[in-house]
Amino acid sequence: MLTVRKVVLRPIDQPAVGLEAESICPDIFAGKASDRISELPIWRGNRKVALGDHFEVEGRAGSIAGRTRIVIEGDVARTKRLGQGMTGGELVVRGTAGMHTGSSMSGGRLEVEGDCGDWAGMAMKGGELVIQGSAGHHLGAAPPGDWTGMTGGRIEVAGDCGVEAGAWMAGGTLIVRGTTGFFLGVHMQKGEIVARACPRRVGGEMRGGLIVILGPVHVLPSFVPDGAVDDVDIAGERLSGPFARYSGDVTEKGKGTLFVREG
Amino acid sequence: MARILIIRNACVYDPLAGIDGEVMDLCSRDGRMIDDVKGRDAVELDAGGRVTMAGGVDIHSHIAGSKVNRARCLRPEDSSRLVRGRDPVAGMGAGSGLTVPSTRLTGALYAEMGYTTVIEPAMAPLKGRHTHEELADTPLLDTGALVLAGNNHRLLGYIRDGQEELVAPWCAWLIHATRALGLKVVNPAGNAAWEWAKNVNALDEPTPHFDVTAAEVLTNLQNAAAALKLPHPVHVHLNNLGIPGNADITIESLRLLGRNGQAHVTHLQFHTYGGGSWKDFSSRAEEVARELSRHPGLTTDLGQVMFGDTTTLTADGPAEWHLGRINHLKWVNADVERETGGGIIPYVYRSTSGVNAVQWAAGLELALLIDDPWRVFLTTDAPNGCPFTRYPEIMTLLASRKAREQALDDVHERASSATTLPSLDREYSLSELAIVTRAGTAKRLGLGTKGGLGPGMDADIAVYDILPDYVDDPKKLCQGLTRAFLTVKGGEVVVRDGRVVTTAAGSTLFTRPRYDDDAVREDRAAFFRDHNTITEANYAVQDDYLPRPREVPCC
Repeated sequence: MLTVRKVVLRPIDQPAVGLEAESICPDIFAGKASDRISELPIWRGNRKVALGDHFEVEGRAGSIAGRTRIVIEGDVARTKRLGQGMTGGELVVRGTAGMHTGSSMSGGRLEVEGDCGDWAGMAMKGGELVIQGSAGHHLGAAPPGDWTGMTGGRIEVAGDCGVEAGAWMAGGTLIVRGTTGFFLGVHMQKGEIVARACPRRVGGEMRGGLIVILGPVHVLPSFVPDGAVDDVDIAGERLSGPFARYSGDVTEKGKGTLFVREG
Repeated sequence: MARILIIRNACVYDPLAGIDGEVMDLCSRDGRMIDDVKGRDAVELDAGGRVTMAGGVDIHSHIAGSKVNRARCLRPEDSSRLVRGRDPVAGMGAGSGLTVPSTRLTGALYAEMGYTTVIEPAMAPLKGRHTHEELADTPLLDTGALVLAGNNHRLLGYIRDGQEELVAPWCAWLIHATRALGLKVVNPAGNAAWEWAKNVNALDEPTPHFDVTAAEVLTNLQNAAAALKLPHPVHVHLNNLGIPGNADITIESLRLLGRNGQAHVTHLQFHTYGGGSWKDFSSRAEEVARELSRHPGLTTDLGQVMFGDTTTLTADGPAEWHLGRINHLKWVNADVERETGGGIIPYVYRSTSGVNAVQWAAGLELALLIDDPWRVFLTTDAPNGCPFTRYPEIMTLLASRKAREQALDDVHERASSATTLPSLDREYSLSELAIVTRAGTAKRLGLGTKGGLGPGMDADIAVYDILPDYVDDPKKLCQGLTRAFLTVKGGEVVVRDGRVVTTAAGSTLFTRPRYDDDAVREDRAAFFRDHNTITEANYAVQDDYLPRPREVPCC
């Protein structure tokens, strides 16, 4: 049984300008007690400040990321890059989290109990990102300009999300229980996406992978009807249909599959 | 008071002065090398017997101008792949970009490798002001730019109308107007054809509308450069770049250029392919190297490919279109009013790809097969083959057969089966490395005060953290070349222990050939009146754009 140690961060004096806090990450906390954690650098706008200037730190981290649990007690809507690049351990935000939460994470578990800003799980490689509220735009997408999005791991959003979720996705699982924005899975290459609804242009220019929409949706004309099925097995769940199956996007000679639940 | 710098115990490799690994003291006064080593209040440094050369001189690297800047815009992701914060010690601003770094980072990265001079090889005349603004903003380096002239509509018109005597004055005016160091031609006649969505695939294939061939463009520009006594001969990017089987047109072009006089044929690796398709793609470096060696007027540079992510950017619009069809990533095409074209595409060279493996091997083959190091220079056509920051790896591959054998193990087998690389024993000496990276390039560019450390030369010095007995350790050589122990620019220490310590501004090198402006003045006025979007006065680069100008004399 692994001994997991817990570090609690209480937001104090949250500035109007954004904080960039990639140091709030189990990998960086590992092996440190509260005093050293308080001294870790974060950016307030263009100034380097100490983590302790904006968070009260309590507890100590485990010896490695995998034995470290970080809990942020409160809203940190303007604190960005939480858990960026984490490879293990756990990070829980008991409130709203800012942009780039869990971007390029490759392991561990990150849970946001409130809403989450844009670019959550950007280029994620592994691990689990759970958002109890809604996520912003570019959930699990590729970094600006890049052509590889999420490549592994699992993102689950209980609420809705913004545009271009799963853009350039090349692996892993993305589940949105609510409604997504436009262009869900645009340029997708591999991996699987489930969403309750997407307004339009789902899977535009997708070349591979699997998208399941649990309700009627406007299908792009570049997707070709390809029969129907009763159930779809995806992400360890059996979703019951009936589903209409489409393949596309033919403008990219794509071999992606889109299931749309009928009725 | 004179600024005097003394570097003691330097193991000097200065091929221009015939010095091959001699431990000596170097001295500079007010930015120039001097003979006697003395002086009160001198700054004295000890090189401790380390390998010392003149500052590196890069003959072909895309570091400034509209293409480079558009590549930065096209690739925000490139900016996240290399980020450097503000350096309080050097007073150096922050910078970013792995393959198309921002100007200040470009200067720093070059200086850290011991380079002090870099030539931007493709300035579109209309974008001259932008190019010079970026060059002026690139610290730690002396820079200069070659002006794109090969597909200029007025030039093509002169050739078509039999007024070939006007080519030289028009080129001269172009060099004056853009404050250029020399003439560049990209895909002769092909770029002009691209404006009609066509390309030319043979030296004698006429371009639409003008009915002028690549052969005519090449010989006319060669003659113009000779007539104007330019310090650097015409700098040629041949036709059919990157196409399987293009070695045919390359050999034909080398023959044509070689018979007619002087020329520098750039990034030859990209023009040295055999086969008829991507399936039987191979290297014909041996034939190409042999043909080049036959013509004493020709020099070349490698355009070496190294595996990894890079940005291809060139004035060769059709070549980028072809590449975009293949790799299917984002693409920019640019058309510069009646002067030239351009294209940009991100590209990832993979060691697991047979084609990329052949490209990688072909560059090394050329370097090893062309016997005379004064005629083949190290470039990567940065960033087309790979970013310039990989020069040390390439120098190591040239210097060590062991390093090449190790590398071949990890590369697709076609690097071995479709090229002659595994059979090549040659290993570059430190002197030869100094030739292909500074002495030879400086000489070919006509930069009389660069590339060497003799009295009167610019005090641009690179001391590498390598002792001359490195020989059996390629890794050590590579590390040493990556981070210069000392880089001196104009008599001032700018890098210590691989780290930039100050931001000194460099000069802009340009030339001013003599010519008869009356020959083309009226014609030019009519041309600007009838065909241009801007007036001639707004077209020319003003002196203000060169805050630190330095004229390179014509021969």
